[in-house]
Parts: sequence; structure tokens; C-alpha cells
Amino acid sequence: MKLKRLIASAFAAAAIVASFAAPLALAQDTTSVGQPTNSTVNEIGNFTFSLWGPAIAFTPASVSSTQSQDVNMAEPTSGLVHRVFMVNDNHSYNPDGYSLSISATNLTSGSYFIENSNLSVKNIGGGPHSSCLYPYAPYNTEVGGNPYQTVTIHPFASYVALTSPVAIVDGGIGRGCRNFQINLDFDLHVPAGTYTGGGTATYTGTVTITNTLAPTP
Amino acid sequence: LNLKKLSVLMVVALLGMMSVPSAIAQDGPATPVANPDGPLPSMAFGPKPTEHNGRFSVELQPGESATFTALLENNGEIAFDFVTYAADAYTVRNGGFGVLEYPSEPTGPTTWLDYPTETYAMEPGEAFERSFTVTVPDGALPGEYVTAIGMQTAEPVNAADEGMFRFDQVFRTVLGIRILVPGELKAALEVGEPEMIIEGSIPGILIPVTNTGNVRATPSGDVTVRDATDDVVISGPLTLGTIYGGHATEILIGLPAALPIGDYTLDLSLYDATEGELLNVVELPFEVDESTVEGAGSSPVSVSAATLTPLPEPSNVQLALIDATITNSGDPIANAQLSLIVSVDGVEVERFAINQSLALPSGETTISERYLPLTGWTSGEWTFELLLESVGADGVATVIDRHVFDEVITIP
Repeated sequence: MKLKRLIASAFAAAAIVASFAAPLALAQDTTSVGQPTNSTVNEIGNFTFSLWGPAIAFTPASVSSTQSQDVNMAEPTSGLVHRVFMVNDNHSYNPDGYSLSISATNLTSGSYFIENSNLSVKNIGGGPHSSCLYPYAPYNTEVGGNPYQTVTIHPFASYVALTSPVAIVDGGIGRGCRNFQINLDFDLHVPAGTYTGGGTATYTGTVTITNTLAPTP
Repeated sequence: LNLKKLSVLMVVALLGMMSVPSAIAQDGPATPVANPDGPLPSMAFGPKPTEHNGRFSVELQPGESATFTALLENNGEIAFDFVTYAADAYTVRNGGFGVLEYPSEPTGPTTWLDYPTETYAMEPGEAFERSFTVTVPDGALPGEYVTAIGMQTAEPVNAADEGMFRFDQVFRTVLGIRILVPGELKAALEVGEPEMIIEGSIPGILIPVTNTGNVRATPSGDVTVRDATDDVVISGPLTLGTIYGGHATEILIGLPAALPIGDYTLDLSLYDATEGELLNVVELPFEVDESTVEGAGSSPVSVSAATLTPLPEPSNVQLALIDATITNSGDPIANAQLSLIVSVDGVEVERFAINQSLALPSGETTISERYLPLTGWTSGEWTFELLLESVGADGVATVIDRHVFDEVITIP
């Protein structure tokens, strides 16, 4: 407890000094329009997110089904190991909440491409470690502490195409619900007639995980 | 006293650690490669909490300016390069705040921002402030304008090095900016022609929608789709995210299977708690043709067998016993409903709910249910149809399969 007070005291003092140091910093880097601060985004905690595990890739072993001459590929291939979407909000009070979504670019191979509508994602459930997940009430609310945020994992009835960003999970305002994870599966539909270069073509794309703070609640 | 001394020492140490991360030239050092087995880069990006109530939202007359401050931080465990930029906002499918991916050409209210793109090499724990201005140009019309700034990993991480189809990853945080130019504000929705689409192998009904007004709306309402015989094939509530003023987007209603080829009509009514009725269209026509359903797989779920037995005997009916087998060759369906549509002399008299919360695991599911008419067995020719619907997470029910019984019960 003494240590906490000590660190808080040191940071408070540093904030005062930083305000005097700012002009110097600006002079050092006028293009950045930036100044150092210890008044960080996460003054009272931290929020991190990532899509954990190896990169998403589809190999011949990924083929799950064919229809006509189209091919469907599933990732992961085993059906047992899923992409793990990691979320950790350990704010004592998160004033903004968070809203995480996933999107994808088209896959390209030189001038050839596969539209992003052919990549789809599904939340296969399981894995939540937090006690805050809707609709369950947290079991460890501290007396006098900030109320816990509500976390809502968006339900997926089935695969959803990544033509447009797909919402994965939202966290509300309040005490962070700490660690939890969501298992995601990806499916790639390879249309008939897709250029393969005799099996040597490589298509690449980008999956983006976005935390959005909308301008209005 | 000792505590004070220690505090001073820590302040000195902190000052030594603080510096503005240097902007990286375009041809500067390459982004460190994140080890997929190790820590991944992470950032925190937000409005300075002490300004504008922690959100970038401001009311400005044409010609006026405001200043905002964003906080940028590497809150991960590894040094990494991050790029920060301004980008256009848009309304994502089914509503909600979206931001164009980097890089993109700023248009509209994004050009009102003085927020040059910059890339920073940042050490773990490093944080700094970045101030910027927004200036509403002379002549700007009243309305609620939205735009955004973003911060993301400067280069993709976790790139795949094998496989014919590979995705690398980008992590980003985007902050919306709302600029209100005061005046008369009104939301108004218009819809375009609906169509059935197949994305990959996933069918859905797509309805273009535009907020022709100048302020956001958050619509909810009901949707109904009927086939050419006026039978309802899709029905349920619709809850959308925010559709911003002047934005065009799409409403997508996911389907468990493609609709059969034919003509359909769509009814759609949408309301907003603030704006009131936004839209009420009826019998909007659309067609599903061969080219539409090409590439769509057949429904994995069907009523594979069903019998209806009058008991105790056809000449003395007291009840009808329905036995049905539903086959699901696809993924499990968490929520389906099975109904019996009962008609007398061709006129529907009852829709009997056999099971309104039916889970359909992969494989076969058997159903056995007794039916007794509410009105008793009145005179006429009784015919029966099973209606199997899936119910999405949004509550929209979609017809998966119908089964018309051959058995007819005739009551003199």
C-alpha cells in the first residue's frame, strides 16, 4: 500500500515537471506536434487486444469441402485449435469502454485477387475467463469499488463474411473485466476459376483488428 | 522525509525516460518483426481525458476552429513502429461507426483536420500527446459530421510464410470525431432495391440504405419477406447500429440457406427513439434467379421424413400424431422452431407451435407431437404442413424447409 502511494506521488510530481519540459520537447521535434507525457491513455490501467497464435494461412490441408468447382477451406484445419482473440482490460475504471471488430482486405496475387467477401469468421464460443461477461454478474465486486463493465461477445449464428468489419466484442464503461479470450474460426471460399499458377500462386491479404471509440456513446 | 526523497529520485528517473519518439522518415528503419511466439505490439490511443469529456465532439459555426489532444502510447512489451493518421469515417454494414483502413485519401470533414500522417518508433511504456485542430470551412451546411484519426502498427505483424492463401495482421485503434454545425437537424432513411446475395458460400438479403438527413439515427423495427404465394419466409425484429447523416450503407439479413428461385416482396419499417418513424416500405419487390443462387450450397437442414396419423382411427379422429425426422448435414443450429400449419378447406385456421426452441445438432433429430385443434374437428377437409424455421441471434426467423403432408383428414 505504501509502495502504491509512493509511485502515485512520484507520478504526480513528474506530471508537474513534464508540463515545464514540454516546450523543450516541442523544439526537439516540431513536426510531430507531440510532447511527452506521463498522463497516459491508461492512467488507471491498461487495455490490450490481439489475435494470438500463428498467422492465418490456408494450405491444401485446409480444404474442408467442395461444391461444384468451388473450394471451401477451414482454418484451423484440425477443428480443435482455434484462433484465440485475446482481450485484457485491467482498468480500475475505463471511461470509454471498447469495441473490437475484425476486417480483411482482398487477397491478391499479382494482378489476380479474391474478394474479401470470400473470407468469413465465426465465433465458436468457449474460452471466456472473465466473470464480467454478459449476462453474468461479477462475483468479486469490491465494496466501494467501481462497478464492473459489461462485456458482450457478439453472437454468431454462423460464419459471417468479412466484406464489412465484423463486430467481435464490446466492453462498456466501468471497471475492466481483465483477461478473457474468444475462439474464432476462419473459412475461405475459393471460387471456381481462381488463378493458381499451376499451384505456385501465392495470395496475400491483411486482417485488421480494430478498437473503435465512436464519437458518440 | 525518506518518502519525499525517494519520490524526487523517481521523478528524475522518469524524466530521463521521457522523450518524444522521433518521427521515422519514409525510408527509415524497418519495423521490428514481431515474433508470433512472443509478445505482440500493443498500443493505447485516446482523447486526452481532461478535454471535451474524453470524446472528440464539438459544436462549431462555419469558420470556427477547435483544438483536440490525443494521447498515444506503446502499452506493449516490445518496441514497435506505429503510424497515426486521419481517415474518413463511414457507416458499416448494419450500422455502426467505421473508419477507412490506412492509407486512404481524406475527403469531406476529414479535410477539416490538421492531423498529418506520422510514423513513430516507440519504446514500451512510451507515451506522448499530439494536438490538432479542426476547422469548419465557411459555407459548411448545418449537420452532424463525423471523421476519425487512427493509430496502428506501421507494418503488418505475424506475417505467414507458408500456405497458398496467407493473411498477416494489423492492430489499430480509431477515434471518432463529431463536429456539429448547428442548425436544423433531421434524419431520413431511404432504401434501394433488395437482393439476395451469396458471399463466399453464405447467403443473405442485402438492402441498400441511405441516411439522406444530416444527423445520425439508430434504427430498429421489423422486416418481413414473402414469397410469390404470399407465404412469409423471413420475419422478425431488426436492430441496427448508428447510421450517420449523409452516409450510405447496407442492411444484411443472414440466411441459413439461399431462397429458392422466385419472386419475393419485402416489408421494412424502421424507427428511431429520437427521430420517430424513419421508414415504412411495403411490398418492395425482388427476384431470386438462377444466377443469384449459383455457388450457393443447398440447405443442410431439411425435414427428411414426416407422417401424420389420425388416432385412434381415420373414421373417428380425436387427435393427429405427427412424427418427423429433421436431418442436419451441416453445423449445429442452436435455435430453430417447428410449427404445424393447419388448414380447413384450403384456409389456414391455426399455426400450432410444436417446438419454439429447437436445437438441431448435426445428424438426425426426431420429433413426435400430438395435435388437437383448438376448435375441435369441425366439418371439412383438413390439410397439414410442417414449417421449419431457424431463428438468428437477432431474432429474425427464416424458413429452412416446408413439408406438406400427403395425409388429409376429412370430417363429414
